[in-house]
Amino acid sequence: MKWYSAILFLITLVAGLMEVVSGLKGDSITSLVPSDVFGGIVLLIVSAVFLRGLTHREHYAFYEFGSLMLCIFSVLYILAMLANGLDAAIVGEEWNPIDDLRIEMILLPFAIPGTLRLIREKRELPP
Amino acid sequence: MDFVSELAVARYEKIGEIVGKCVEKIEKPRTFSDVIDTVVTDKYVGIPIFLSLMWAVFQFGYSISVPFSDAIDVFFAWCAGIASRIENPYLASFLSDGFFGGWGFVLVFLPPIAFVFIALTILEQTGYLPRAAFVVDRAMTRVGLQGKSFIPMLLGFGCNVPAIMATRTIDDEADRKITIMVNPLMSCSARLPVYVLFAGAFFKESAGAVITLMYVLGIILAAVMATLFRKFIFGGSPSPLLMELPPYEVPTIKSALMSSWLRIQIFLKKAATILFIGAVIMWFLATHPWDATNGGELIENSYASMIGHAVEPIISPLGLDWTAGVALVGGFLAKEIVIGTLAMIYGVGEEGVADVITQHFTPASALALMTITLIYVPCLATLGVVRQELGSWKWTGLVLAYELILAYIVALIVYAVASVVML
Repeated sequence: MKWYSAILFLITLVAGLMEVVSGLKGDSITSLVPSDVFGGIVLLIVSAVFLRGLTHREHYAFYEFGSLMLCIFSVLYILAMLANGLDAAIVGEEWNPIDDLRIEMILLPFAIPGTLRLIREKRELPP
Repeated sequence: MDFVSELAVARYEKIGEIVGKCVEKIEKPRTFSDVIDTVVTDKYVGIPIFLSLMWAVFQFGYSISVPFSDAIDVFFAWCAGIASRIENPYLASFLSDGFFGGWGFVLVFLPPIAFVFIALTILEQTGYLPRAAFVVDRAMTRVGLQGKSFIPMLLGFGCNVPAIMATRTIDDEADRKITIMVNPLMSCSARLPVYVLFAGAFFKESAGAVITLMYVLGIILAAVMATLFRKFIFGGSPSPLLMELPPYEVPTIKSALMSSWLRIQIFLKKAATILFIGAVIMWFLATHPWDATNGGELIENSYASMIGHAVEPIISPLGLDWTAGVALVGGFLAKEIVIGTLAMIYGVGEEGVADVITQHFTPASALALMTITLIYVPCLATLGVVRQELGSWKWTGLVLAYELILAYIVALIVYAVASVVML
Protein backbone atom coordinates (compact mmCIF):
# COMPACT_ATOMS: atom_id res chain seq x y z
CA MET A 1 0.00 0.00 0.00
CA LYS A 2 3.01 2.29 0.07
CA TRP A 3 2.34 3.23 -3.53
CA TYR A 4 -1.14 4.46 -2.54
CA SER A 5 0.34 6.55 0.30
CA ALA A 6 2.79 8.00 -2.21
CA ILE A 7 -0.10 8.94 -4.54
CA LEU A 8 -2.00 10.57 -1.67
CA PHE A 9 1.15 12.43 -0.67
CA LEU A 10 1.58 13.80 -4.19
CA ILE A 11 -2.10 14.74 -4.63
CA THR A 12 -2.33 16.55 -1.28
CA LEU A 13 1.04 18.22 -1.87
CA VAL A 14 0.00 19.59 -5.26
CA ALA A 15 -3.46 20.63 -4.01
CA GLY A 16 -1.97 22.28 -0.93
CA LEU A 17 0.65 24.15 -2.93
CA MET A 18 -2.01 25.35 -5.38
CA GLU A 19 -4.16 26.68 -2.52
CA VAL A 20 -1.20 28.44 -0.91
CA VAL A 21 -0.11 29.98 -4.23
CA SER A 22 -3.71 31.03 -4.98
CA GLY A 23 -3.92 32.56 -1.51
CA LEU A 24 -0.68 34.49 -1.94
CA LYS A 25 -1.74 35.67 -5.40
CA GLY A 26 -5.18 36.58 -4.05
CA ASP A 27 -6.86 34.85 -6.98
CA SER A 28 -8.04 31.26 -7.51
CA ILE A 29 -6.08 29.18 -10.02
CA THR A 30 -9.20 27.15 -10.83
CA SER A 31 -12.72 27.24 -9.40
CA LEU A 32 -11.96 24.13 -7.31
CA VAL A 33 -8.90 25.65 -5.68
CA PRO A 34 -9.81 28.51 -3.38
CA SER A 35 -7.29 31.21 -2.50
CA ASP A 36 -6.81 29.98 1.05
CA VAL A 37 -3.28 30.01 2.45
CA PHE A 38 -4.17 28.27 5.71
CA GLY A 39 -6.41 25.69 4.02
CA GLY A 40 -3.42 24.97 1.76
CA ILE A 41 -1.03 24.68 4.70
CA VAL A 42 -3.38 22.16 6.31
CA LEU A 43 -3.28 20.09 3.11
CA LEU A 44 0.51 20.32 3.15
CA ILE A 45 0.49 19.00 6.73
CA VAL A 46 -1.67 16.07 5.59
CA SER A 47 0.80 15.43 2.77
CA ALA A 48 3.65 15.58 5.33
CA VAL A 49 1.90 12.84 7.34
CA PHE A 50 1.76 10.61 4.24
CA LEU A 51 5.40 11.43 3.46
CA ARG A 52 6.53 10.61 6.99
CA GLY A 53 4.76 7.26 6.66
CA LEU A 54 6.77 6.42 3.53
CA THR A 55 9.99 6.46 5.55
CA HIS A 56 8.61 5.04 8.82
CA ARG A 57 8.57 1.36 9.79
CA GLU A 58 4.93 1.74 10.92
CA HIS A 59 3.87 3.16 7.61
CA TYR A 60 0.25 1.98 7.93
CA ALA A 61 -0.35 4.14 11.00
CA PHE A 62 0.61 7.27 9.04
CA TYR A 63 -1.38 6.19 5.98
CA GLU A 64 -4.50 5.60 8.11
CA PHE A 65 -4.20 8.77 10.19
CA GLY A 66 -3.41 10.89 7.12
CA SER A 67 -6.54 9.48 5.46
CA LEU A 68 -8.56 10.27 8.60
CA MET A 69 -7.30 13.87 8.56
CA LEU A 70 -8.19 14.21 4.89
CA CYS A 71 -11.65 12.84 5.68
CA ILE A 72 -12.12 15.28 8.58
CA PHE A 73 -11.24 18.30 6.45
CA SER A 74 -13.35 17.11 3.51
CA VAL A 75 -16.38 16.65 5.77
CA LEU A 76 -15.69 20.03 7.39
CA TYR A 77 -15.84 21.78 4.00
CA ILE A 78 -18.96 19.85 3.00
CA LEU A 79 -20.65 20.99 6.24
CA ALA A 80 -19.51 24.55 5.54
CA MET A 81 -21.03 24.32 2.07
CA LEU A 82 -24.35 23.10 3.48
CA ALA A 83 -24.24 25.86 6.11
CA ASN A 84 -23.78 28.42 3.33
CA GLY A 85 -26.85 27.02 1.58
CA LEU A 86 -28.90 27.24 4.78
CA ASP A 87 -27.65 30.76 5.41
CA ALA A 88 -28.62 31.84 1.90
CA ALA A 89 -32.13 30.52 2.54
CA ILE A 90 -32.37 32.43 5.85
CA VAL A 91 -31.17 35.79 4.54
CA GLY A 92 -32.86 35.35 1.16
CA GLU A 93 -29.80 35.30 -1.08
CA GLU A 94 -29.08 33.15 -4.12
CA TRP A 95 -26.79 30.20 -3.58
CA ASN A 96 -25.00 28.01 -6.05
CA PRO A 97 -23.36 24.94 -4.45
CA ILE A 98 -20.83 24.82 -7.29
CA ASP A 99 -19.31 28.06 -5.93
CA ASP A 100 -18.54 26.34 -2.61
CA LEU A 101 -16.94 23.22 -4.09
CA ARG A 102 -13.35 22.71 -2.99
CA ILE A 103 -10.66 20.28 -4.02
CA GLU A 104 -10.72 18.69 -0.53
CA MET A 105 -14.28 17.47 -1.22
CA ILE A 106 -13.12 15.79 -4.43
CA LEU A 107 -10.33 14.11 -2.45
CA LEU A 108 -12.77 12.55 0.06
CA PRO A 109 -13.19 9.24 -1.86
CA PHE A 110 -9.40 8.81 -1.92
CA ALA A 111 -9.34 9.03 1.89
CA ILE A 112 -12.07 6.48 2.51
CA PRO A 113 -9.97 3.25 2.16
CA GLY A 114 -7.46 4.41 4.78
CA THR A 115 -10.17 5.62 7.14
CA LEU A 116 -12.09 2.35 6.82
CA ARG A 117 -8.89 0.49 7.61
CA LEU A 118 -8.45 2.59 10.74
CA ILE A 119 -12.03 1.87 11.81
CA ARG A 120 -11.41 -1.83 11.30
CA GLU A 121 -8.29 -1.63 13.47
CA LYS A 122 -10.29 0.15 16.16
CA ARG A 123 -12.64 -2.85 16.23
CA GLU A 124 -9.94 -5.53 16.10
CA LEU A 125 -7.17 -4.17 18.34
CA PRO A 126 -7.42 -3.70 22.13
CA PRO A 127 -8.04 -0.04 23.04
CA MET B 1 36.60 7.41 37.69
CA ASP B 2 36.40 8.30 41.40
CA PHE B 3 35.31 5.96 44.16
CA VAL B 4 31.71 7.26 44.34
CA SER B 5 31.17 6.77 40.59
CA GLU B 6 32.68 3.29 40.68
CA LEU B 7 30.39 2.41 43.56
CA ALA B 8 27.34 3.67 41.62
CA VAL B 9 28.32 1.68 38.51
CA ALA B 10 28.85 -1.48 40.57
CA ARG B 11 25.50 -1.01 42.27
CA TYR B 12 23.67 -0.67 38.96
CA GLU B 13 25.44 -3.71 37.53
CA LYS B 14 24.28 -5.75 40.53
CA ILE B 15 20.74 -4.36 40.20
CA GLY B 16 20.71 -5.29 36.49
CA GLU B 17 21.91 -8.79 37.32
CA ILE B 18 19.17 -9.35 39.94
CA VAL B 19 16.41 -7.82 37.76
CA GLY B 20 17.52 -10.02 34.83
CA LYS B 21 17.09 -13.14 36.95
CA CYS B 22 13.74 -12.39 38.60
CA VAL B 23 11.78 -10.23 36.10
CA GLU B 24 10.23 -11.79 33.02
CA LYS B 25 9.48 -9.38 30.18
CA ILE B 26 6.22 -10.03 28.37
CA GLU B 27 5.66 -8.62 24.92
CA LYS B 28 2.80 -6.10 25.29
CA PRO B 29 0.09 -6.59 22.63
CA ARG B 30 -0.16 -3.71 20.20
CA THR B 31 -3.16 -1.50 20.95
CA PHE B 32 -5.23 0.87 18.85
CA SER B 33 -3.87 3.76 20.95
CA ASP B 34 -0.33 2.69 20.01
CA VAL B 35 -1.23 2.99 16.31
CA ILE B 36 -2.58 6.53 16.68
CA ASP B 37 0.12 7.63 19.13
CA THR B 38 2.81 6.63 16.66
CA VAL B 39 1.53 9.44 14.44
CA VAL B 40 0.19 12.16 16.78
CA THR B 41 3.24 12.09 19.05
CA ASP B 42 5.73 11.84 16.19
CA LYS B 43 8.59 14.29 16.61
CA TYR B 44 8.20 15.70 13.09
CA VAL B 45 4.46 15.78 12.41
CA GLY B 46 3.06 15.80 15.99
CA ILE B 47 2.97 19.58 16.44
CA PRO B 48 1.78 20.35 12.86
CA ILE B 49 -1.07 17.84 13.37
CA PHE B 50 -1.98 19.57 16.65
CA LEU B 51 -2.03 22.99 14.94
CA SER B 52 -4.09 21.75 11.99
CA LEU B 53 -6.65 20.14 14.33
CA MET B 54 -6.93 23.40 16.29
CA TRP B 55 -7.46 25.21 12.99
CA ALA B 56 -10.22 22.70 12.14
CA VAL B 57 -11.89 23.45 15.50
CA PHE B 58 -12.09 27.19 14.81
CA GLN B 59 -12.96 26.75 11.15
CA PHE B 60 -15.81 24.49 12.29
CA GLY B 61 -16.96 27.12 14.80
CA TYR B 62 -16.80 29.93 12.28
CA SER B 63 -18.17 28.29 9.11
CA ILE B 64 -20.95 26.10 10.43
CA SER B 65 -22.43 28.66 12.81
CA VAL B 66 -23.16 31.35 10.21
CA PRO B 67 -26.79 30.38 9.43
CA PHE B 68 -27.64 30.03 13.13
CA SER B 69 -26.13 33.42 13.94
CA ASP B 70 -28.05 34.97 11.06
CA ALA B 71 -31.30 33.39 12.24
CA ILE B 72 -30.83 34.91 15.73
CA ASP B 73 -29.83 38.17 14.09
CA VAL B 74 -32.99 38.28 11.98
CA PHE B 75 -35.17 37.44 15.00
CA PHE B 76 -33.80 40.17 17.30
CA ALA B 77 -33.80 42.74 14.50
CA TRP B 78 -37.49 41.94 14.03
CA CYS B 79 -38.14 42.34 17.79
CA ALA B 80 -36.19 45.63 17.87
CA GLY B 81 -38.13 46.85 14.84
CA ILE B 82 -41.45 46.23 16.60
CA ALA B 83 -40.19 47.87 19.83
CA SER B 84 -39.04 50.97 17.95
CA ARG B 85 -42.67 51.65 16.94
CA ILE B 86 -43.68 52.35 20.56
CA GLU B 87 -44.83 55.96 20.88
CA ASN B 88 -42.85 56.83 24.01
CA PRO B 89 -39.37 57.54 22.50
CA TYR B 90 -37.50 56.78 25.74
CA LEU B 91 -39.15 53.39 26.14
CA ALA B 92 -38.79 52.67 22.42
CA SER B 93 -35.06 53.47 22.53
CA PHE B 94 -34.54 51.42 25.68
CA LEU B 95 -36.42 48.39 24.35
CA SER B 96 -35.12 48.41 20.77
CA ASP B 97 -31.49 49.43 21.38
CA GLY B 98 -30.94 48.54 25.03
CA PHE B 99 -33.06 45.44 25.63
CA PHE B 100 -33.46 43.64 22.29
CA GLY B 101 -30.25 45.17 20.93
CA GLY B 102 -28.38 44.00 24.03
CA TRP B 103 -29.75 40.46 23.86
CA GLY B 104 -29.23 40.30 20.11
CA PHE B 105 -25.59 41.39 20.30
CA VAL B 106 -24.85 38.82 22.96
CA LEU B 107 -26.81 35.86 21.58
CA VAL B 108 -25.77 36.30 17.97
CA PHE B 109 -22.35 35.01 19.03
CA LEU B 110 -23.72 32.01 20.87
CA PRO B 111 -23.59 29.71 17.77
CA PRO B 112 -19.84 30.16 16.99
CA ILE B 113 -19.01 29.74 20.68
CA ALA B 114 -21.26 26.69 20.94
CA PHE B 115 -19.74 25.08 17.84
CA VAL B 116 -16.19 25.68 19.09
CA PHE B 117 -17.19 24.10 22.42
CA ILE B 118 -18.69 21.10 20.60
CA ALA B 119 -15.54 20.62 18.51
CA LEU B 120 -13.25 20.96 21.54
CA THR B 121 -15.41 18.52 23.52
CA ILE B 122 -15.23 15.95 20.71
CA LEU B 123 -11.45 16.35 20.63
CA GLU B 124 -11.33 16.02 24.42
CA GLN B 125 -13.51 12.90 24.47
CA THR B 126 -11.44 11.11 21.85
CA GLY B 127 -8.54 11.23 24.30
CA TYR B 128 -6.39 13.35 21.99
CA LEU B 129 -5.88 16.34 24.31
CA PRO B 130 -3.54 14.58 26.80
CA ARG B 131 -1.43 13.62 23.75
CA ALA B 132 -1.45 17.24 22.72
CA ALA B 133 -0.15 18.08 26.22
CA PHE B 134 2.59 15.50 25.73
CA VAL B 135 3.46 16.89 22.29
CA VAL B 136 3.73 20.47 23.50
CA ASP B 137 5.36 19.64 26.87
CA ARG B 138 8.86 20.01 25.50
CA ALA B 139 8.00 23.41 24.05
CA MET B 140 6.30 24.46 27.29
CA THR B 141 9.29 23.49 29.40
CA ARG B 142 11.44 25.63 27.13
CA VAL B 143 9.29 28.69 27.86
CA GLY B 144 9.35 28.17 31.60
CA LEU B 145 6.02 26.40 32.02
CA GLN B 146 5.50 22.79 32.97
CA GLY B 147 3.38 20.16 31.22
CA LYS B 148 0.61 20.44 33.84
CA SER B 149 0.18 24.08 32.77
CA PHE B 150 -1.13 22.84 29.43
CA ILE B 151 -4.62 21.92 30.70
CA PRO B 152 -5.32 25.33 32.34
CA MET B 153 -3.92 27.02 29.23
CA LEU B 154 -6.20 24.93 27.01
CA LEU B 155 -9.20 25.63 29.25
CA GLY B 156 -8.37 29.30 28.75
CA PHE B 157 -9.66 28.97 25.19
CA GLY B 158 -13.09 28.46 26.71
CA CYS B 159 -13.06 30.82 29.68
CA ASN B 160 -10.13 32.20 31.68
CA VAL B 161 -12.04 32.03 34.99
CA PRO B 162 -12.23 28.19 35.34
CA ALA B 163 -8.85 27.96 33.59
CA ILE B 164 -7.14 30.04 36.28
CA MET B 165 -8.90 28.06 38.99
CA ALA B 166 -7.64 24.85 37.36
CA THR B 167 -4.05 25.93 38.12
CA ARG B 168 -4.65 24.62 41.66
CA THR B 169 -3.54 21.22 40.33
CA ILE B 170 -0.02 22.63 39.86
CA ASP B 171 2.03 21.91 42.98
CA ASP B 172 4.98 24.20 42.40
CA GLU B 173 4.11 27.76 43.50
CA ALA B 174 6.28 29.52 40.90
CA ASP B 175 4.90 27.32 38.08
CA ARG B 176 1.36 28.05 39.28
CA LYS B 177 1.88 31.82 39.48
CA ILE B 178 3.42 32.00 36.00
CA THR B 179 0.54 29.94 34.57
CA ILE B 180 -2.02 32.27 36.21
CA MET B 181 -0.24 35.40 35.01
CA VAL B 182 -0.07 34.34 31.35
CA ASN B 183 -3.43 32.54 31.22
CA PRO B 184 -5.45 35.67 30.25
CA LEU B 185 -3.42 35.73 27.02
CA MET B 186 -5.13 32.52 25.95
CA SER B 187 -7.95 33.77 23.79
CA CYS B 188 -11.21 32.96 25.64
CA SER B 189 -14.52 32.50 23.86
CA ALA B 190 -15.58 36.05 24.81
CA ARG B 191 -13.02 37.42 22.36
CA LEU B 192 -14.22 35.18 19.54
CA PRO B 193 -17.20 37.44 18.60
CA VAL B 194 -14.82 40.34 17.98
CA TYR B 195 -12.61 38.19 15.76
CA VAL B 196 -15.60 36.67 13.95
CA LEU B 197 -17.07 40.07 13.16
CA PHE B 198 -13.87 41.85 12.09
CA ALA B 199 -12.28 38.88 10.31
CA GLY B 200 -15.57 38.20 8.51
CA ALA B 201 -15.94 41.83 7.45
CA PHE B 202 -12.35 42.48 6.34
CA PHE B 203 -10.83 39.10 5.43
CA LYS B 204 -13.81 37.20 4.05
CA GLU B 205 -12.11 34.17 2.46
CA SER B 206 -9.32 34.07 5.04
CA ALA B 207 -11.51 34.79 8.08
CA GLY B 208 -10.84 31.37 9.62
CA ALA B 209 -7.12 31.84 9.12
CA VAL B 210 -7.11 35.31 10.68
CA ILE B 211 -9.02 34.01 13.70
CA THR B 212 -6.54 31.14 14.03
CA LEU B 213 -3.68 33.66 13.81
CA MET B 214 -5.15 35.56 16.75
CA TYR B 215 -5.19 32.40 18.81
CA VAL B 216 -1.64 31.57 17.74
CA LEU B 217 -0.53 35.12 18.62
CA GLY B 218 -2.01 34.66 22.11
CA ILE B 219 -0.09 31.40 22.52
CA ILE B 220 3.18 32.99 21.33
CA LEU B 221 2.77 35.96 23.66
CA ALA B 222 1.97 33.66 26.59
CA ALA B 223 5.18 31.76 25.80
CA VAL B 224 7.23 34.96 25.62
CA MET B 225 5.81 36.36 28.86
CA ALA B 226 6.20 33.03 30.67
CA THR B 227 9.87 32.95 29.61
CA LEU B 228 10.39 36.52 30.86
CA PHE B 229 8.58 35.88 34.16
CA ARG B 230 10.61 32.70 34.73
CA LYS B 231 13.89 34.38 33.88
CA PHE B 232 13.52 37.76 35.58
CA ILE B 233 11.04 37.23 38.42
CA PHE B 234 10.76 33.62 39.59
CA GLY B 235 13.95 31.87 38.48
CA GLY B 236 14.49 28.09 38.76
CA SER B 237 13.18 25.56 36.23
CA PRO B 238 9.75 23.95 35.73
CA SER B 239 9.01 20.52 37.20
CA PRO B 240 8.74 17.54 34.79
CA LEU B 241 5.44 16.25 33.31
CA LEU B 242 4.07 12.93 34.50
CA MET B 243 0.65 11.98 33.19
CA GLU B 244 -1.32 8.92 32.19
CA LEU B 245 -2.50 8.72 28.58
CA PRO B 246 -6.06 7.36 28.40
CA PRO B 247 -7.02 5.02 25.54
CA TYR B 248 -8.69 6.57 22.48
CA GLU B 249 -12.48 6.49 22.41
CA VAL B 250 -15.05 7.31 19.77
CA PRO B 251 -17.17 10.09 21.33
CA THR B 252 -20.92 9.74 21.16
CA ILE B 253 -22.99 12.67 19.88
CA LYS B 254 -25.10 12.64 23.05
CA SER B 255 -22.18 12.86 25.47
CA ALA B 256 -20.42 15.50 23.33
CA LEU B 257 -23.56 17.63 23.22
CA MET B 258 -24.18 17.23 26.95
CA SER B 259 -20.63 18.23 27.90
CA SER B 260 -20.77 21.16 25.50
CA TRP B 261 -24.10 22.21 26.95
CA LEU B 262 -22.53 22.54 30.41
CA ARG B 263 -19.97 24.98 28.95
CA ILE B 264 -22.60 26.81 26.91
CA GLN B 265 -24.67 27.28 30.08
CA ILE B 266 -21.78 29.21 31.64
CA PHE B 267 -21.84 31.57 28.65
CA LEU B 268 -25.63 31.91 28.82
CA LYS B 269 -25.53 32.73 32.55
CA LYS B 270 -22.89 35.35 31.85
CA ALA B 271 -25.00 36.66 28.96
CA ALA B 272 -28.05 36.98 31.17
CA THR B 273 -26.21 38.89 33.88
CA ILE B 274 -22.95 40.75 33.23
CA LEU B 275 -23.33 41.07 29.46
CA PHE B 276 -26.93 42.20 29.48
CA ILE B 277 -26.30 44.74 32.26
CA GLY B 278 -23.19 45.88 30.40
CA ALA B 279 -25.20 46.35 27.21
CA VAL B 280 -27.79 48.43 29.08
CA ILE B 281 -25.03 50.56 30.66
CA MET B 282 -23.56 51.17 27.20
CA TRP B 283 -27.03 52.09 25.90
CA PHE B 284 -27.32 54.60 28.77
CA LEU B 285 -23.89 56.10 28.04
CA ALA B 286 -24.65 56.33 24.31
CA THR B 287 -28.07 58.00 24.70
CA HIS B 288 -27.54 60.32 27.69
CA PRO B 289 -27.77 63.17 28.53
CA TRP B 290 -31.13 62.44 26.84
CA ASP B 291 -31.85 66.02 25.79
CA ALA B 292 -28.31 66.78 24.61
CA THR B 293 -28.25 63.66 22.43
CA ASN B 294 -31.77 64.39 21.19
CA GLY B 295 -32.98 60.99 22.33
CA GLY B 296 -29.82 59.14 21.38
CA GLU B 297 -29.58 60.56 17.87
CA LEU B 298 -26.62 62.89 18.45
CA ILE B 299 -24.13 60.41 19.79
CA GLU B 300 -21.35 63.04 19.69
CA ASN B 301 -22.99 64.74 22.70
CA SER B 302 -23.25 61.56 24.79
CA TYR B 303 -21.27 60.39 27.79
CA ALA B 304 -19.90 57.59 25.59
CA SER B 305 -18.49 60.17 23.19
CA MET B 306 -16.79 62.00 26.07
CA ILE B 307 -15.15 58.76 27.22
CA GLY B 308 -14.14 57.86 23.66
CA HIS B 309 -12.61 61.26 22.94
CA ALA B 310 -10.63 61.06 26.21
CA VAL B 311 -9.12 57.74 25.06
CA GLU B 312 -8.71 58.69 21.37
CA PRO B 313 -5.24 60.36 21.62
CA ILE B 314 -3.85 57.12 23.05
CA ILE B 315 -5.30 54.80 20.39
CA SER B 316 -5.09 57.03 17.32
CA PRO B 317 -1.54 55.78 16.47
CA LEU B 318 -3.20 52.36 16.03
CA GLY B 319 -5.56 53.74 13.40
CA LEU B 320 -8.47 53.66 15.86
CA ASP B 321 -10.89 56.49 16.48
CA TRP B 322 -12.98 57.46 19.52
CA THR B 323 -15.69 54.91 18.70
CA ALA B 324 -13.20 52.07 19.14
CA GLY B 325 -12.10 53.77 22.36
CA VAL B 326 -15.60 53.55 23.82
CA ALA B 327 -15.89 49.91 22.75
CA LEU B 328 -12.56 49.02 24.34
CA VAL B 329 -13.50 50.79 27.58
CA GLY B 330 -16.75 48.80 27.57
CA GLY B 331 -14.66 45.68 27.03
CA PHE B 332 -13.14 46.14 30.49
CA LEU B 333 -16.42 44.81 31.86
CA ALA B 334 -16.61 41.91 29.40
CA LYS B 335 -15.13 41.47 25.95
CA GLU B 336 -18.47 40.53 24.37
CA ILE B 337 -19.68 44.08 24.94
CA VAL B 338 -17.18 45.49 22.40
CA ILE B 339 -19.35 44.65 19.37
CA GLY B 340 -22.64 45.74 20.92
CA THR B 341 -21.08 49.06 21.89
CA LEU B 342 -19.81 49.71 18.37
CA ALA B 343 -23.23 48.94 16.87
CA MET B 344 -24.92 51.25 19.37
CA ILE B 345 -22.53 54.09 18.61
CA TYR B 346 -22.95 53.68 14.85
CA GLY B 347 -26.70 53.55 15.36
CA VAL B 348 -27.22 50.28 13.50
CA GLY B 349 -28.83 47.00 14.39
CA GLU B 350 -26.78 43.86 14.77
CA GLU B 351 -27.44 43.06 11.12
CA GLY B 352 -25.75 46.27 9.97
CA VAL B 353 -22.68 46.41 12.15
CA ALA B 354 -20.52 44.33 9.78
CA ASP B 355 -21.22 46.78 6.94
CA VAL B 356 -20.64 49.90 9.03
CA ILE B 357 -17.30 48.87 10.51
CA THR B 358 -15.81 48.66 7.02
CA GLN B 359 -16.37 52.43 6.80
CA HIS B 360 -14.74 53.18 10.16
CA PHE B 361 -11.84 50.73 10.12
CA THR B 362 -9.21 49.63 7.63
CA PRO B 363 -7.99 46.01 7.48
CA ALA B 364 -4.87 47.14 9.39
CA SER B 365 -6.80 48.97 12.13
CA ALA B 366 -9.23 46.02 12.34
CA LEU B 367 -6.24 43.76 13.04
CA ALA B 368 -5.00 46.28 15.64
CA LEU B 369 -8.39 46.22 17.38
CA MET B 370 -8.46 42.41 17.35
CA THR B 371 -4.94 42.36 18.78
CA ILE B 372 -5.82 44.77 21.60
CA THR B 373 -8.94 42.75 22.36
CA LEU B 374 -6.80 39.62 22.55
CA ILE B 375 -4.23 41.06 24.95
CA TYR B 376 -5.56 43.94 27.04
CA VAL B 377 -7.12 43.61 30.48
CA PRO B 378 -9.14 40.44 30.91
CA CYS B 379 -12.76 40.91 31.94
CA LEU B 380 -13.64 41.92 35.49
CA ALA B 381 -14.50 38.33 36.42
CA THR B 382 -11.06 37.08 35.31
CA LEU B 383 -9.33 39.90 37.15
CA GLY B 384 -11.23 38.92 40.31
CA VAL B 385 -10.09 35.30 40.01
CA VAL B 386 -6.50 36.38 39.29
CA ARG B 387 -6.57 38.40 42.54
CA GLN B 388 -8.11 35.47 44.44
CA GLU B 389 -5.63 32.88 43.16
CA LEU B 390 -2.51 35.06 43.37
CA GLY B 391 -3.64 36.33 46.76
CA SER B 392 -2.08 39.73 46.23
CA TRP B 393 -3.00 43.08 44.73
CA LYS B 394 0.64 43.59 43.80
CA TRP B 395 0.69 40.57 41.46
CA THR B 396 -2.76 41.43 40.11
CA GLY B 397 -1.55 44.96 39.39
CA LEU B 398 1.45 43.52 37.58
CA VAL B 399 -0.84 41.37 35.38
CA LEU B 400 -3.01 44.41 34.63
CA ALA B 401 -0.04 46.63 33.82
CA TYR B 402 1.88 44.19 31.64
CA GLU B 403 -1.23 43.32 29.63
CA LEU B 404 -2.07 46.95 28.92
CA ILE B 405 1.49 47.78 27.87
CA LEU B 406 1.88 44.58 25.86
CA ALA B 407 -1.47 45.11 24.12
CA TYR B 408 -0.45 48.59 23.04
CA ILE B 409 3.02 47.64 21.81
CA VAL B 410 1.91 44.52 19.92
CA ALA B 411 -1.11 46.29 18.38
CA LEU B 412 1.20 49.09 17.25
CA ILE B 413 3.54 46.58 15.59
CA VAL B 414 0.62 44.67 14.00
CA TYR B 415 -0.87 47.92 12.68
CA ALA B 416 2.46 49.12 11.26
CA VAL B 417 3.26 45.79 9.59
CA ALA B 418 -0.29 45.33 8.27
CA SER B 419 -0.35 48.89 6.91
CA VAL B 420 2.85 48.25 4.94
CA VAL B 421 1.82 44.77 3.72
CA MET B 422 -1.71 45.79 2.72
CA LEU B 423 -0.77 48.97 0.90
